[in-house]
Amino acid sequence: MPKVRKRWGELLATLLVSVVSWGAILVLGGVVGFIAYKGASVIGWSFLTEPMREGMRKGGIAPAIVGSLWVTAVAVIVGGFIGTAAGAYLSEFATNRRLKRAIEFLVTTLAGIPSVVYGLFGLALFVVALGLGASILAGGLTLALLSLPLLIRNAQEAFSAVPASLKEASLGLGASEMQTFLRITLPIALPRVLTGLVLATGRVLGETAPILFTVAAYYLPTYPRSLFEPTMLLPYHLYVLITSGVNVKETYPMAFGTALTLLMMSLAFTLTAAYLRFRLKLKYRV
Amino acid sequence: MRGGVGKRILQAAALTTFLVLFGLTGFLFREGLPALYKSPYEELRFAVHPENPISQLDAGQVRALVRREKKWKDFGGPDTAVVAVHLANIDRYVTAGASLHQIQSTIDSLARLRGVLLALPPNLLPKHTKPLVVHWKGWKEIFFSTQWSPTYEPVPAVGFLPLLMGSLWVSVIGLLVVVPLGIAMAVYAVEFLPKTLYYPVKILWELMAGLPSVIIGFWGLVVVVPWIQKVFKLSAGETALTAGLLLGWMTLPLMASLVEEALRAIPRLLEESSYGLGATQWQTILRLKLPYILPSIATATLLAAGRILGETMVVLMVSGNSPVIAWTPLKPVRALPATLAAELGEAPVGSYHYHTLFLLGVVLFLLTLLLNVSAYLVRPRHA
Repeated sequence: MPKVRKRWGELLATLLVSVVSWGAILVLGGVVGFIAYKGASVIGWSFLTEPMREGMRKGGIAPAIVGSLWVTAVAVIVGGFIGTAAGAYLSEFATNRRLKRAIEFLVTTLAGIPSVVYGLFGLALFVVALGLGASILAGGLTLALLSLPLLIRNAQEAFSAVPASLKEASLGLGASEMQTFLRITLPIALPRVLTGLVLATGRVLGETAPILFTVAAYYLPTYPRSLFEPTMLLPYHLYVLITSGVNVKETYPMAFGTALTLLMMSLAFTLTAAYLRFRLKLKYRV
Repeated sequence: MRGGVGKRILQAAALTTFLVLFGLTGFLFREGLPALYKSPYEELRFAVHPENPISQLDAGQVRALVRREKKWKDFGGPDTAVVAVHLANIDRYVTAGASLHQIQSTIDSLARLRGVLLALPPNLLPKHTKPLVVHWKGWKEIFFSTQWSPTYEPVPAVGFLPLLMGSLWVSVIGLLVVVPLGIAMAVYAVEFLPKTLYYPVKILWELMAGLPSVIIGFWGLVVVVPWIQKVFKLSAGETALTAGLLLGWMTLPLMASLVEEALRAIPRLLEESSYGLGATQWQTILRLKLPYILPSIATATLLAAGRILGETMVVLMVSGNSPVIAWTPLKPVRALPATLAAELGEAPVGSYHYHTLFLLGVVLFLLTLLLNVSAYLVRPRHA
């Protein structure tokens, strides 16, 4: 008799964890589905290619899309170079164990700093102290710093995953450390490094807090002409549309359209990265 | 030799992490610390009618007088109504477009009222008045005052307590959601999820983690807020509970993957001996596995707490942003990061408000640092 009761308890517990797991995923479906359902009718060719009109109630969101792409490009290019180089150093060249440990600890620490704090830093350093003003460059550099921990860790893992036998064979043939890195390790690790860049792109694209004071313009329906200008961005535009529009109800359709655009762009990058990562993982297992 | 230069470059890139952390700390403190020793009304002089016996007050008392919550009588002054005159309300007494001369003469005539309280730049202050010393208690105003209205004229209130309380509510609710549910998700993924579904589920977790927070905030505002309002019959659905639930949900992938990793690292031998002794699957999970990975669960909880505490957009959009200390989670609250996001754009660079917000940033930075460093310290060593 007690045994039967125990079974029931176990079944119930199993049921509980399954419901929780699928419930959390269901909410994700709810978020994506709801925004797709409400936003699909808004998005069209003109919505994606025209600037806003009539105080954001009409027209499209093209300047925000372009602005987001610019800022993201600056962030990923700058962050990508520094992050990959730092990851390479940690994985391949760091001979001082203490220094390596210290840097790894710093990377962990930096990863835990809230994005809004990076925004404050960007404001104080790039916008005010370096005199860049609210500009694409200031926002892009702030986001580059924000994505550094992710990029460094990813690059380090990518380089470490290259089989040591290959590196040793190269060294044994008389290649220098640097030659081995550039001709053997880097090409083999490149797919993984790029996967990290794609993932970082998706993250950076959706970041809102760090751009609030470093680049985002409330209403500027023109295309940026240089890196030293402020611009509209998708996440901030969405925030403005739903919280501080003149008539929030009137701008709701625009908000759903903007949300869906942002969601699709960011999901595309995250999904690509996830797909690449799992494919690479499977490949390495064999 | 060429390799030497290349290596230097890579090393320099790695050392930028030091630069970022020190630069970040340095700039935050540089802009934040002035809030502790400056006063928000350095450019103003306070004055009262010469027959008013009061010669000194503290900032909170002046605020109460201007707000008409207190009268002169309460502080031992005359039994007359308070007439506050300061730059933000001068337009009540003069018509728009008045010349400086007209403004000056209006101020001079107002200064003859017995209940007057003047807060003006020195050049506008009438001569026949008595100076009033207004004490600013520095860090005590910031860490012990229970009010936050940093742009209130002429004496702002900059108490961090309501904001800290708001963050506490949101984080506690978020953790109550994420810790049990995250563990449940990890257990399910390791123990019960069919192999063919494993990668799809992991990809869904990644999508969840990669969802822009502004989108979650938007969805929360349109869907969850009205729902909370209806369920709890509130006048507004933007509450600490709403924000906490959403934050808990969005932190699930982080918590679940950390716990999952720990569950997978449990030595097979232990698991098999448990089964060998006749334990069932759930007995093994509850009596062996979860206790075994307790350090990992602690680490994951601390990391999740740091993430929840620092998350900005969701809190900004669905928590109601009311900087008043709340005693139940069904009240609107205002968290630290949301305050930064909402106000920094409007605070002129170098103003007292600006420095206060940076000090708030310092507090947020130190709190998350504390959580992350403790997570690092309690992490399991064998993993």
